[in-house]
Amino acid sequence: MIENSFFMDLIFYIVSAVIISLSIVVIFISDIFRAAIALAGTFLGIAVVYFMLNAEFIGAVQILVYVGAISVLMAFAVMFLRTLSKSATPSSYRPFSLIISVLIFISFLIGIYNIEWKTIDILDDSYDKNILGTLYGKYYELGYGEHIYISSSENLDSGLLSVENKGVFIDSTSIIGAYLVQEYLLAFQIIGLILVVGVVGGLLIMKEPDKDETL
Amino acid sequence: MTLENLLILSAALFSIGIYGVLSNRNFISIIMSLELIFNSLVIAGVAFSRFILPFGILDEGDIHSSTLRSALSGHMFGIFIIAVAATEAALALALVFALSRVNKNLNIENVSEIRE
Repeated sequence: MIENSFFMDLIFYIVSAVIISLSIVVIFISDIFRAAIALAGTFLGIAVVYFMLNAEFIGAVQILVYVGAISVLMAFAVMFLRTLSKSATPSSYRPFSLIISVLIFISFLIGIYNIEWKTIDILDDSYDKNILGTLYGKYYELGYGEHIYISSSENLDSGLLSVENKGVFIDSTSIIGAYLVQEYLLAFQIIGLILVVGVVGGLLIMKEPDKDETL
Repeated sequence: MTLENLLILSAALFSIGIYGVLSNRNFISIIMSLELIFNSLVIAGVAFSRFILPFGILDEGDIHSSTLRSALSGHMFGIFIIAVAATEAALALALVFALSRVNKNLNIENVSEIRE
């Protein structure tokens, strides 16, 4: 369980500085192989952010899929085609796209600071605290044979949810597993179909064209 | 580490990715920038599900179990985004190889030459 201490804030700032600088390296470096390596570093930093947010399953999936598969795929493609992509050719739209992206960032900033987010630490400070207080110390059925217990203290046993320490702490892996076979079953199967179609389509695109034009 | 900090990180990654997509001509660089954009969206989803309680918890009376579970719907969106992004990366790299067969540089303007 992660505490909201100064130490965690410091780690978060360092990790996000690393993420931002590595992603800027990905965009601006001319050697495309080094860009692929910097992209792997960016994915690792983002996985650290997920672990700090108590999203263990997403962090593990991020390391497995992005760092383990997509970065390696990119590195292979770059190594195969290195003579072709010796230098990233800049487009003629550079000032235009800089203006566009800065405008997008500024509008995001305006939106983030003008919306009053109903986060949990706001609730802790306000009169709504007793609503959260009614949640503590009770068991809740999750509907698939498991219970969830909301603790009012800082120590968190297995499979619990705690709303005390400015956050929802929940054992994400078991609930994601139940989600995938209950509420999101159709989406899960469609994702499987998409993956199969993607693999077959990639093979068809990659295939050397035959002489007699038969697939 | 507040919600605003995480959303600013997500917005910065999104803007950097948009700049990379618009300002590069190299096909592989564009795919890398697209991956940055997907990752920024997953960061925003996980941050929302970490810092914002589901609506039903704040109601009076009994709490249904599905409202407690819906505290994690941001994670589910993240998983689906990651799966679609992996498929997209594989297909786009297959397109890069197909492009390298007909053309000697990987500019995005030459993608239409794959057709013949």
